[in-house]
Amino acid sequence: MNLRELLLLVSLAGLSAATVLGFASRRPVEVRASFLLGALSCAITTVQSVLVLLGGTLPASSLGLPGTVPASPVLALGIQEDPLSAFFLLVVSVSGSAILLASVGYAERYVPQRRGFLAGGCGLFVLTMVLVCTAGTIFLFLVAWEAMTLVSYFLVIHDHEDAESREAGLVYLVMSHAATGAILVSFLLLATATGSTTWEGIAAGAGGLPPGVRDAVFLAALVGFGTKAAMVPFHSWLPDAHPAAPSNVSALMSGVMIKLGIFGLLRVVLGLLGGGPSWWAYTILALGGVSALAGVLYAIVQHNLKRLLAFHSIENIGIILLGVGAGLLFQNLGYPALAALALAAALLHTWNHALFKSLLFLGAGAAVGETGTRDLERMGGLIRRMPGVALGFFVGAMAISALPPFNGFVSEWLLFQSFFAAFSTGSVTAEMTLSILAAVLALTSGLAAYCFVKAFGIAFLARPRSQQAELAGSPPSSLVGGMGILAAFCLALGVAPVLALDLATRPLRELTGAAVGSGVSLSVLSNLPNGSGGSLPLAPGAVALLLGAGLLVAWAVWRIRGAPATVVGPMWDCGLDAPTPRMEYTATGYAQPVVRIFEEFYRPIERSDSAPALRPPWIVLARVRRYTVEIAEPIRAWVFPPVASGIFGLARRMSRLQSGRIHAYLAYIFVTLVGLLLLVRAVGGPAP
Amino acid sequence: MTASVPAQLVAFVGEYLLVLGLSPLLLAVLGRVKARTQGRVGPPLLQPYRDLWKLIGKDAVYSKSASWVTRYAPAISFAALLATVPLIPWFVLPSPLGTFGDLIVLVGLLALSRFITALAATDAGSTFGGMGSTREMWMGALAEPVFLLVIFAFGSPAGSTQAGAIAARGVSLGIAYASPPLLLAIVAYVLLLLVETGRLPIDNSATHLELTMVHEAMVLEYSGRDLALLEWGRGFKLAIMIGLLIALAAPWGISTSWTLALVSLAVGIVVIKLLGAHVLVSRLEAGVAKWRLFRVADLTTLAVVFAFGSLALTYVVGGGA
Amino acid sequence: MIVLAVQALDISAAIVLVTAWISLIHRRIEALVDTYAIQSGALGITAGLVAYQYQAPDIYVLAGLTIVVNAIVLPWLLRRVVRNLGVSRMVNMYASVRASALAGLAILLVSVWVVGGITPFAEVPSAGLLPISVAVLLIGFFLLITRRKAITQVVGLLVMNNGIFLAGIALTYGLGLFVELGLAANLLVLAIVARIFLERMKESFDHVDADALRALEG
Repeated sequence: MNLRELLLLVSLAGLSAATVLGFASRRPVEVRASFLLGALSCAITTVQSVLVLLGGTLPASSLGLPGTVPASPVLALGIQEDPLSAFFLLVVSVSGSAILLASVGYAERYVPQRRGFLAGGCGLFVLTMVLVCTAGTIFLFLVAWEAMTLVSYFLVIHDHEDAESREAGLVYLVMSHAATGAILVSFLLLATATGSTTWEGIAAGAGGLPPGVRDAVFLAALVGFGTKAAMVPFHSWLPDAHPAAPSNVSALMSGVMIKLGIFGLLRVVLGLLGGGPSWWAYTILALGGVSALAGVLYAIVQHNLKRLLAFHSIENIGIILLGVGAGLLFQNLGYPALAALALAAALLHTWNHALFKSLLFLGAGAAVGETGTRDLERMGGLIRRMPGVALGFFVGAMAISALPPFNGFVSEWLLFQSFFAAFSTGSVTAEMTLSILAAVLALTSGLAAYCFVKAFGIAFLARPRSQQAELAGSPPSSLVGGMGILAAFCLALGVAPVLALDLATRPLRELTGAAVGSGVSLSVLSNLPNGSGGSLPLAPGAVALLLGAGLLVAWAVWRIRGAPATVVGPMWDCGLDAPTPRMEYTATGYAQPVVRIFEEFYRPIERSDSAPALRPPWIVLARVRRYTVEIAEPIRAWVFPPVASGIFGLARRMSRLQSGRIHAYLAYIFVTLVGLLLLVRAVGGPAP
Repeated sequence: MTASVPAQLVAFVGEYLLVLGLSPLLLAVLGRVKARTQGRVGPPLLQPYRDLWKLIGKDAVYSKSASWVTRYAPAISFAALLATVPLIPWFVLPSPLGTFGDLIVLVGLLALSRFITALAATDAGSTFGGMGSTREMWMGALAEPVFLLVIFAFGSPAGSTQAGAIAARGVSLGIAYASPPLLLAIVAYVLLLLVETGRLPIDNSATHLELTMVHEAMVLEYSGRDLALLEWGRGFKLAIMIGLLIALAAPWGISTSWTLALVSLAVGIVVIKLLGAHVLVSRLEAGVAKWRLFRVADLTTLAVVFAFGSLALTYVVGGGA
Repeated sequence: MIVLAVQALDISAAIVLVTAWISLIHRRIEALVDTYAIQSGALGITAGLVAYQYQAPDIYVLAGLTIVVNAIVLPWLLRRVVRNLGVSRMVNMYASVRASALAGLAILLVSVWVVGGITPFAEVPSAGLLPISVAVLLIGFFLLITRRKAITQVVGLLVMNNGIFLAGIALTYGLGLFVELGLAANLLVLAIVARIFLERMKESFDHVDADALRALEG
């Protein structure tokens, strides 16, 4: 047993212990210990995954052979860790560690009851996610996947006294199960066609499958994993489930869990099937573009802070899918180096999103916890009540808006570069498609910036819009500490993305077969066929340095005529008498121009009424006006009612089978049994 | 031909001095030409320098409800705009001190500057600040796809998203660089420039009515040295956008050798080109009235059409932008 | 010099396309007419460049004719019609400005897709203009469909005509002087007829809204 295996075993044991400790806890100190143990185990996992990414694997070669004695307990569990697993393990564990650390204070301060359940549930949730990443066989994968879904369902309905939570949980459970069904279909197809249940065995045999089977596997995997990743049109569980859960759980789900949908998709489509025809790529690209744009457009009109963040997860999944789709496309066109570039963007953005979305959800958790409301219109001025949280949220907002020098910018930059590289493939369709998608991506990131000026500006800046916001306290230090870790990662990966890209080298080499040099520094993807001499023109460290130099110049301008006195005065009021916070710009008002520009998309239902507020003669000047705008979700309206009515119709037809007589049911069992026996014989069971 | 490191450093600093020093004069030229066109005399050419100097000497006043965002936003915005300067080939190729970024980085830095200014506008909690902020942000969001497509349109024939590589191709091709895709890309860029820098018919920087303001509404709360940073930054954002247009659309005159005489000549040429372009912009501004706010969306859509049309035309008429 | 002329030819043809797109975003009829005038001017210059390239005097005549008739006389007539009719000067449309602009882009893509591969005479260096001219033709058609007023429909028809003319000079160095002369005369007549027709409509119905034809529905 080597160090890598030992570390993995230790962290699995640690997470299990944290789970048990949490569920069994009686006193607050045990809850705290459970969270801390979970965080520590995650940190160990991080170290382990980095070790694997830098060299070495956890092979499962002895697994497929019945009767052999496994060489180590890790292998006995059916665990395998190849570079792709290790990369996603890294994504899970870094955010997981920070979130569990933040949960210590979060649970103590903001969760009134069932803290032990929350602690144990979070530990188990992370444990199942680690297992999903490291499962070496389809059985372990499916078991871990289902366990992950179930645990997260129970965490979503943590506040089950709230009817909304229950309903959100139900939608989530049903959609997740349908998705697992699709994944099962794709795995069973692969397993029966290749006669193997391990990744290596399937990958070895998948190349020779008939195209029809491969297409079916692809579609089933796309639906199954796409639902978990919340890709449009399978996204509708997410905007309900994430706000309903406690914020640390939202952070785990939105920041970490949905990434495993991407993991599964990469595993099946590139790892097992090794790429496919170009329509696979175009399908993923189209769904990615729609997810990105629809996600951000819906996010803009949300006034529930957590719901707003949830829609941004859909947007970012769309961005990641754009990278995956472009990678598939380049692979199909025969440019593995370009495929590596696009997939590097996808992998990097996966990690980046895990970092900044966890950060943002923790910040939202503090804001929601302290003010007791999720409504942006009732927040405001929180920057003075909780400066640390505000700074963390600010960093997250810059990162998700793809602004330098933070990490979101680097991954989107890589994605733009890979789209631009289409011009060296000579495929007109690819060039035009990726140019359109570049415009879509640019619009998306511009709108994301818009949305986060709104979110940060309305929630944290200006004056408090309600009494709760005015009386908000300062959040616990462990929460701020957890956010600090994530914010530091956002900055570090923005200034030195080479660190992350180095770690992504081996997964990329494995996925694309490209000769990606060791140390995928930005100049690495060196056999790029574009004429720029092989290296990609970005040195994020230099950008940060230049920004620093610019700040120095600004400081010099500021001081050149002596140190200024700081004068604090009243706000400029344009002649109005003492503007009140009610006269500030609201979240609705802030979003209104975009609603108007994309009217065809939103189809808003606007209502305004007014009534005289004062007796004459003031009636002309003073009227109470109320303006509300309601936005339905058309995608939901188009997709789900037909599906639901189809299922109900089927169920009604099926209900004829339900006669209520015991003999009928016995007859069904009998018929099924005989049918199965015949089937076994038909497909070549033991001959008489 | 590569130059020695000291020479590159001098050129690097020279670019900064050129843009920082020249941008108030360019603004003055713009204002004066506009005034002349409208039959007024206009301010003297040194007026912007005097204004800046005076503002720098004054204390900044902050609103009671403002936080650190308000205090640091002008410096961050200024720094982000400054960082774009070396991304553009002003007078010598290859750009001094190598290449640390491309035009997509430039888009990111402009977005950073916009983001922080728009946040600061919501900080004090005044209604006008929020109004300016939302307008600036949605206009910026609509401009971004145009910018990316324009970069693709200019960059695809050169196989690079770096302004230096694009300009180098233009210089080496000479007059053969002009082509229909280039024309379309230029038109798209000009529309983009009007939106990005808030010129008429998008935004009227001389307005006194808060309800029609965009940029001015955002900086209403600022005074003294902070306002100086913002106004100076605004001036050289215009210079940067116009300088980029010159580098991409008419790069002829940029020196490709590092001899002192040629580089000095190139500096002279770029100053003349900048002046000329500002005069053109001011003539354009004098001739139009401000458009209704939501017509901006029509304008950016049209710019998308042009930029994408430029890409599509390369398949038909060859050449490429 | 010939190389330069080909380049200039391409660029002036692109201006024709640009003006066709711009005509899609106008909301005032006068602005639409002005853009048409610029388009016709660019078309005349294109024809002139073709003439220079092939040293063909008859095409010079054609170019001059285009500039005089299409760029000066017709716009002048149309402006007079707008003024005299006293109708609202706004362009009423079925498709929003943004949708129209994007449709303009889609039209170009379709034209490039469909016509881009066709090179009827390999020796014609300006065959690349064919997709542009088809796009201009279709944009004119689009104007015809989506703009409500009769007068804006006339402009759409004229833009279509410009597209046909561009295709003509792109492919055959001019359709031949007499065909073209006939076409130009035809157009002039068309404009005059349209004007008289519009004035009659105005006198009879007090408006020139083509939408009113809906009343004919059973």
